[in-house]
Amino acid sequence: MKPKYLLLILLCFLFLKTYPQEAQNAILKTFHSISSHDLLNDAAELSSAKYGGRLSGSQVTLPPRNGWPISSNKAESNQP
Amino acid sequence: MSDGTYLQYFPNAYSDVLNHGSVTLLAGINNQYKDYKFPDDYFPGSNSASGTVSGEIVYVGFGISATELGYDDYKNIDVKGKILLMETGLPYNGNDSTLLKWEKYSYHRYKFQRAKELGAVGLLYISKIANPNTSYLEGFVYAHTSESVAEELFDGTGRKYSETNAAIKKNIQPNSFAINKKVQISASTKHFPDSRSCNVVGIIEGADSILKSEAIILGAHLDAVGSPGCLFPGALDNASGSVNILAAAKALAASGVKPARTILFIFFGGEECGLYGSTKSVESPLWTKEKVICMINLDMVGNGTGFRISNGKSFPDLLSPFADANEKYLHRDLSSSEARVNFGRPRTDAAVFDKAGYRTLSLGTTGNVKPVYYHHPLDNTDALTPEIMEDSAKLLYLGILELANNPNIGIY
Repeated sequence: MKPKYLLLILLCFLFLKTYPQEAQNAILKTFHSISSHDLLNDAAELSSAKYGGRLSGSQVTLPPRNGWPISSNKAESNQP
Repeated sequence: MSDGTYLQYFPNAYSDVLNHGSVTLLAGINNQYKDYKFPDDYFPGSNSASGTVSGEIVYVGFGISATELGYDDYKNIDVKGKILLMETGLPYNGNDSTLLKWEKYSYHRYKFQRAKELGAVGLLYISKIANPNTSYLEGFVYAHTSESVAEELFDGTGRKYSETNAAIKKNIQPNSFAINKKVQISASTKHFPDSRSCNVVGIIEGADSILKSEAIILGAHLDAVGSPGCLFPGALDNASGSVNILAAAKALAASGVKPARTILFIFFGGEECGLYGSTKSVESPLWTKEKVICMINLDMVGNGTGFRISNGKSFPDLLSPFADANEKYLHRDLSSSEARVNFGRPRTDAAVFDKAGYRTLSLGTTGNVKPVYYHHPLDNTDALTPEIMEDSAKLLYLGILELANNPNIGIY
């Protein structure tokens, strides 16, 4: 076997061997990015007076947001 | 959705409660006039009709006419033009095949309709929790009261409320009677019978060309009980579950290791009004049911020190990634339970999926650190313990990533 192929196989082996650790590091990095501060802020936002206690039900059609089309929502809705 | 949105709509009638109204005990032979206080003594009915009603109070136990079961709270009692004092729930407390026969009588809507049908004009419902899972009936004014108000209304009748209630449940025998006092209830509401709501759906498409056809559903209800008389913030129920899922979703989307299977995030609407959103989700599935690994529900996950995974013991392959993640990184107490058949009415979004034949897990917490203000104005962020929320989101992130990437986990 030519030395360059041997080197390639060796590199691949090393990559595979180290990948689980890298993956684990990546997972833990994301894991540690989850913060109670953000969670509490989000809960405070949802609980704020501007949402009026988030009672389900609406008479109004929501405005388009971020380009999400809403024109055909009515067709999907089962009217009571 | 087929229309390119992330919103799944369904019908959702609701009522706005415009102020806290009033509940007044009118002066009588046995009692003095008394204005009850909001929110200490009563909450206005979330679907009460607008107006003022007054009349004699009749205690009607559970408000059930189940003649085939030999039980009728209305037998030999005239409730026409009266205001009823009524229990929620059922006199039967078991969870077995007998409960199946009672199930249809456990719905608030049945009880309200039966009362109206018999001519009652109003109701004091003995359960001081805000609850939009009720019927709006024209001319029918109601409020939720506490057990202590019920006890007070029983004064002078020669009976104790608590003993009467206990005896009905023990003997499964009605014990309805006229209290000989008059009450007045006022409410100001606006009803919207033709309205709608929606589930908000998110998706992380699986990274594996084969496994991506299989999905894990992560759900929490986004709605709460509104503002019946004042703001009921719904922080624990269920901003907590919603934001835990949001945090896990952000982590899974940002993760250096991508989930092989698809993950669907469903923020349900209409839960408090009657599990409308989850019912829509199982009736119009967003993913082929046979390709769903499981549905994981979060409801009130923001107060405590430990985790509880309901149904986990029945599905060890689903429980194991969460138990392992907890043992390795979070070190919280984690308990789980067997799945059990619920013979009563479904009370959670998970129960709707359960009933439709999905494997479900429910992540909850144990060891409350703070008081639980269920459907109450004090259910605000002070009622939360952010540490358990952070760890819940971390548990979801690690557990779901493993569920999504483990090729040995099957559908079932």
